[in-house]
Amino acid sequence: MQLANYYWRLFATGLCFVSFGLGALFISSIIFPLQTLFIKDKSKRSKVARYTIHKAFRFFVVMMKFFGVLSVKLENFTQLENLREHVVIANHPSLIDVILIIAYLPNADCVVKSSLFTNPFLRGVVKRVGYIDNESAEQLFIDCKKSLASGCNIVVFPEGTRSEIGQPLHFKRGAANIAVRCQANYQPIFISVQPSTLTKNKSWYDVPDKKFVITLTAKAIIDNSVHFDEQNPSLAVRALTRATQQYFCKELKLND
Amino acid sequence: MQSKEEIFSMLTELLVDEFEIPAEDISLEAKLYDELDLDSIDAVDLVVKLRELTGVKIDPESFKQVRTIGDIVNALAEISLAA
Repeated sequence: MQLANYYWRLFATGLCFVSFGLGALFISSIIFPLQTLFIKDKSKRSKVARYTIHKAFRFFVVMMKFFGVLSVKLENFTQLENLREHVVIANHPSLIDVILIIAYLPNADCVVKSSLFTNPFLRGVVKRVGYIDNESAEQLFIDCKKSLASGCNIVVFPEGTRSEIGQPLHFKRGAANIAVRCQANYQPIFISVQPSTLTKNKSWYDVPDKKFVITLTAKAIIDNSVHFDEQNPSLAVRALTRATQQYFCKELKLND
Repeated sequence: MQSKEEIFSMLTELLVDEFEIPAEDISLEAKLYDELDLDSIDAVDLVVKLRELTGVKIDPESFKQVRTIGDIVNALAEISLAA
C-alpha cells in the first residue's frame, strides 16, 4: 500500500511539473493576449497579470494538495492580507517556495535572475507581470522603488539560491540593498519542508517516503529604519545582512 | 597626479573603511568578486566613491572588465595620466 502510494506520488509529481510548464504557456499564449485585447492601460494590464499569476499559483497549490503530493500549513498569514511596500524575505529549502509565497501573498513582485527572461516557458509570464530583472545594479533600485511605491511587496530569497539543508544560512546582500536603498522594512517568512524534498541537490523524481508538509510562518515585521544610511549604504547593507542572517539562523536553530 | 602606490593605499583605506574588507586580504592580485566578497552593487558604489575621492570618473561599463585590485589601480593611473 505504501509502495503504491509512493509510485502514485512519483507520477503525480511528474504530472504537476508538466502541468506547471503547460499552464505557464497557456497563460502567456492565451490568457495574456486576451487580456491585451480588453485592457488598454499598460500598468492596469500588469496588475491584472500579477493577479492572474497569484490565482493560477493558488490553483496549482490546490492541485498538488488534491493529488496528495503535499500538504500546506500557513501560520500568521492573515497579517499578509494588507501588507504593502515591504521586502518579503524567506529561507529557501525547496524549488516550490516561491510558488507558495506568490499563491498566498497578494501584490507579490519578484526580483528574478536575468535568465528567466529567456526561459521559453517563463519569459512570457515574467515580462508581462513586470517582475524585476537583476541584470543591472543601477536599474534594479529604480525598478524596486517604483514597485514598492505602487503598493507591491518584493519577494527575495536572501541566500540567492536554495538552502543547503541543515547548514547555517549564508545571505547575499541583495535583499538588504533593496531594503536600505528603497527604505523598506522586512516581512520575514520561515519555510520548512518535512521530509525535505525538491532541494538543490535532488531531482524532482526523488520523492520522499511520505507526503511532505510545507509550512510557511509569517514572523513579526522587522523595522529596518536604523539602517537607512544614505552616506554609507554599503556599510549599512552589510550590518543589516548580518543582523538578518543571525536572526534567521537563531530562529531556525541553525548554528552560525 | 598620484603614483600607483598612492592610489593603492587610498583604495585600501576605502575598501577597509567602507566595505569592511580586512586589510590583510588586499593585494594587487586580489580578485574583487571571488576573493574580496564584493558584488556588482558594491562595484557601482566603489565607482561613485572613487569619483568623490579623486575626481576621476570611471565609466561603469569599463569597470565591468575590472577583475583585480591591480586592474583598478592601473585604470585610475591611466585616466589621471590622460587628464
